Formats: sequence, C-alpha cells, structure tokens
Amino acid sequence: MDQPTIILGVIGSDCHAVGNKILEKVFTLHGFNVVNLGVMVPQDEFIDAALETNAKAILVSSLYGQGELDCEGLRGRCIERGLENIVLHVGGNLVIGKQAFTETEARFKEMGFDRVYGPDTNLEKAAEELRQDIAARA
Amino acid sequence: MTRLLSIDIGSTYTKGALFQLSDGELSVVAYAKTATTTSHLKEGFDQVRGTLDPDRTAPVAFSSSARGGLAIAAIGLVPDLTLKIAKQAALSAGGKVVSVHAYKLGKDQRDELVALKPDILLLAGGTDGGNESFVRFNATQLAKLPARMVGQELPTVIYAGNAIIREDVAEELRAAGFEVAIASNLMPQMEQVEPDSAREQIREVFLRKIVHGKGLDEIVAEVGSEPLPTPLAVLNLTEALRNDVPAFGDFILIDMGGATTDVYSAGETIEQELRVMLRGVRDPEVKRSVEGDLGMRVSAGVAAHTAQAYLRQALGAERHVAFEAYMTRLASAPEYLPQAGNEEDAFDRALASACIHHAILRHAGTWKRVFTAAGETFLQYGKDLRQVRKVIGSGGYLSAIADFTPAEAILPTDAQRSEIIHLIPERFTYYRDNGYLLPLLGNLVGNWRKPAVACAVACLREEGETCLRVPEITSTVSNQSNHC
Repeated sequence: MDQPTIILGVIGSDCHAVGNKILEKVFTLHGFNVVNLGVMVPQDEFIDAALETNAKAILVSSLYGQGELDCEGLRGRCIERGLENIVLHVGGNLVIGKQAFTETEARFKEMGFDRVYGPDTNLEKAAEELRQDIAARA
Repeated sequence: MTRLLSIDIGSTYTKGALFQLSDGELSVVAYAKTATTTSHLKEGFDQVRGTLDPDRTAPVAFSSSARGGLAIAAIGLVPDLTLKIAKQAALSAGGKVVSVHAYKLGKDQRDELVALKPDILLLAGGTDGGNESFVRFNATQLAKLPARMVGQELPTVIYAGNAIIREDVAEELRAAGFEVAIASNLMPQMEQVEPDSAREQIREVFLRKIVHGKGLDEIVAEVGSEPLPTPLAVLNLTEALRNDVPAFGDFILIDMGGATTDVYSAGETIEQELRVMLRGVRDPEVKRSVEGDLGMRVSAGVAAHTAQAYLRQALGAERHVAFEAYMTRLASAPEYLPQAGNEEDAFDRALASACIHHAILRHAGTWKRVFTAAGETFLQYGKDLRQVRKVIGSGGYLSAIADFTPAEAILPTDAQRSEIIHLIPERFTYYRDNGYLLPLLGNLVGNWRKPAVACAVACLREEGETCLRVPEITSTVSNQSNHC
C-alpha cells in the first residue's frame, strides 16, 4: 500500500501529550496512515496494534527520562510475537542528565531501534528516513 | 383489546404468560410453566399454550435457550483486540462461547475444535487492509477440519475479519466443505468496534440450526413466527429500556439461572476523570457477560469451587464443610428446592451471593493504580459502573426470593480490593422481577416494543435502597464520597 500504517504512542507511564499530537499531524501529512495510541502506552499495546493493522513501523516517544527502562526488550518482544520485520524508531528526551547524544543513540540502537531521535529533530527528515527504512524492509 | 402469548423454552422449564393489550398497555392475565420436554420441545410448548390459550387464537412470540445457546468458538488475532470483540459479539448475540483462540491455530486447537463440536466458528482478525497472514493461516488450518469431522454436522463459519481477504477466505473454506457467512469486520479500524453485522449473522444461523429438529420447526409452522435465542430476547429488552426510557437511568440486570449467571449493564463506558486513562477496547453501552461457571443448580458444584474463598469467608470453615456436602447432594438432584428457613435455604442464599459477587466483579471495569512522574494515575479497563443506581434481579432464584438482596454480595473483599479498584455501583435501589416476566417481555419487544418496555418497568418490584460502604478511592481522584 502506498500509505503505510505506522503505530505512534508515548511509552510507559509518560503522559506528555502535546508532542504526540504534533507527530500524528506531521506523519499524516507525509502520507502515513497513523494509528495513534496516545500516552501511557505499554509495550504490548504497540505490538497488539501493529499486529492487527499490519503496521510497517512503530514510533515510540518518551519524554520523561525513563525511556531506557521502558524501551528495554521491545525488539525481542516484537520478534517473539511475530513482528520480525517491523521498523522501530524512538525519539524524545530519552535519558536524564547530561549525556552525549551519540552515546544515547548507540545505546538505543543496541536495544534494537533502527533510528534514534533527540529533542531537536527535523520532522521532515524523520518522515523521509521512516519511508526509506520501510522501503528497505519490504 | 388484544391478547398476546409469550413462551420461553428454557433448559429446565418451559414458561409462558398470556398478556392483555388494551389502550397500549400490557397486563399479565395468566402464567404457566411445565418441565421442558427436551426430546420433543413442542409437547411442553403445547402444554403451556393449551393452559393459557385453549382456543389457540392469541398471536405467539417465543424464545428458546436451546442448550444454553449456540456453541460458538471465537477465533481472533490479538486477545485484547479482535478476539475480545469476537467473544463479546458472540455473547451479545445470545451465543455460548465454548472456546477462544488467539494468533495462530495449531494442531491442539484444531483437536479442541473437533472435540467441542461448536455450531459456529466466528473467524476474526485484522483491521480492514491490516493483517492478512494470521487470518489466512487460520483459514487454512480450519480447512483441514472437515476431513476429521466426517459424519458430524460441520460448524458454520462466520467470517468477520479483514475485509480485503474475505472472498479468498470464504472460497477456501467453502471448497473445504464449510457453509460460510460473511459479516462486516468486527474491528475495521483500530479500536473501532462494529459487532452488529456479525451478531445478525449469528442470529440467522441460530434460526437455521436450532429450528430444525426437536420439534421447533413444527412450532414455527404452527404459530407462524421464529424463535429468538432467550438471551437475545433479554438483551433486546435491555436495549429498548435503555433507549426508550431515559429517565430510568443506567442499570444492571442480573439474570441468574441454574447453569449460568448473565449480567447486562446499560450505561456509558466512560466516566472520565482527571488522571484516569482509558485502556483497551471500549465496552459497549449495553453489555452482556455470561458466566458459565456460576449458577444455582447445574453449575452449583463448579460455582462452589470458583467461589471457594468467598464462601468459606461468608460461612465460616465449619459451615463450609456442611455446604460442600449440600453441593454434592445437589449434583445428583439439581431440581431440589430447600424449605424456607432451614440450613439448606441459607446455603442457597450464600451460593446466590457468591455467584453474583463473582459475576458482577468480572463484568465491572477496574482501575489499576500507577505512579508516574506526574503523580498518581489510574488505568481504567472496562466499564465504570459507579454511577449506576438501579440493579434488577431476574431468573428462577432471584425472582422467587423476596428478601434476598445482592447489596453485600457485589462488594469486593478486602483481599480483592487491595490489588485493584472495582468500578461497581456505590449505592443503588434493588428491583426484583418477581413474576419472572423479563424474558417473556423480551419476546414482545420486536412487535410491541412500547407496551413491552412499559410493562417491564411496571413489573419490577422495588425492594429497597442500599448504600455500599465502598471506601473512598483517593482524595486526589474522586471528589464523590458516599453521602447516605
């Protein structure tokens, strides 16, 4: 389908809702069929939604500094539940404290994410990269 | 003046009432019941009809519980999404869910389906344009079943999954020998729930399958109308009451029988409050749940097991032993009714409380407390019934026992309360269907909706108001305390 389905949500016990709405708008404008699960979404709900809708990617947001804890194991869980090929992107304020972004990025990539975005991300670029990643997996 | 006859063929009793309709108002003229003649249902039906309307001139509406409803196996993809909706659709159509299957069907599940002999396979999964692979896989697995089911009637497949592949799925299953009916997708988009089309298909299969044999077809030929599944008749009445009498407000109807305890609730899912996040698929405005392990007679033994902890606490260890002995006696004589006031009467009362307790707590939504960076927050699963102000009791036991109230029964125990918050009514008035008329009025909703609904309201006997001492949840979340 030319409008790939993507799953969007803020993971864990995080209730920051504003950025989530902006992402929904931008990715919809860029031709994605966005299923937005909103805030405080557990790992399994991302996977449930992706399974039913045959989504090509899961976009995880985290803004309250506990992203690392919340995202741990997501890739494995996806594989376990039958989503071997799904694209995983993560973005937001991923860690607390002063840490070089390259370090954060490396850590999340090690956890199985295909792309890691910091707070000042250009969303046009992110949408383009998402499209590329989905095409590469197809 | 018109006379109307309504008859319900239950698993134990065939019951009927003759109503009189004058100036748009229904009143009961006579009531009759007889033991259901399971081998030929028409005999019991004729007996009740003959008693109530010897000339056989009154129009007849009738229902049949038909072995507790059609046996339905629900197959979905994700347990919390399409499978949950499939199960709910089957129950709201008046079916009996015999098994549920998520993800991919394996050999064990196929063996289970062969053994359970369901009447219907409700096959769901995938949003429209969504998942295909799991659904196609399951269709292929199901296509292997007919070879194993030679000599027995094949279940009808109702396909209510991803619409994009429905022709392919239907073709494959028809080629394998199944009769296939197609319904709209139960979940066309994420969290959009559309059970009506599947419900209608289930009802049609019910008519085709149940009417044949056991004498029901002869009844249809004679009275000129088709039977409703009994639970659907009750659900229709519940929905009509909800829509036509807004002043009646939100309510819960408990229909407790010998085999199952059915709970119907009419009210919105959402009582949105600050710091409450609604999770998962939303419950319908009128929801039915069926508990096959909770019942007063056929299921009494299982219920005693399910509710062991509750009963032991309610009766005390010593009396609980005597209670267990009573359960053993009931198993061999399910038609037994104790004398009012004796020990066994008290045991029946405890059993009824236990069934209601578990059935309501399973039906009602819950809050799970989570602590976040922004403070305490609650995740809500299911329906918030705290604002429900009316509880109706129906069924053999609840209709008959005037001084029974479900008030204390629906309260969670301390142990249950410590884990999770149950969204049960805070205070309510209890109404008793003392003539056991609600299923019979449900039969009349189709053609005589207004008088049937009015009569249902009129036949409820108010038994008193209760204020439950539900502990206040927390000051940060709930600003409603119990002022009564």
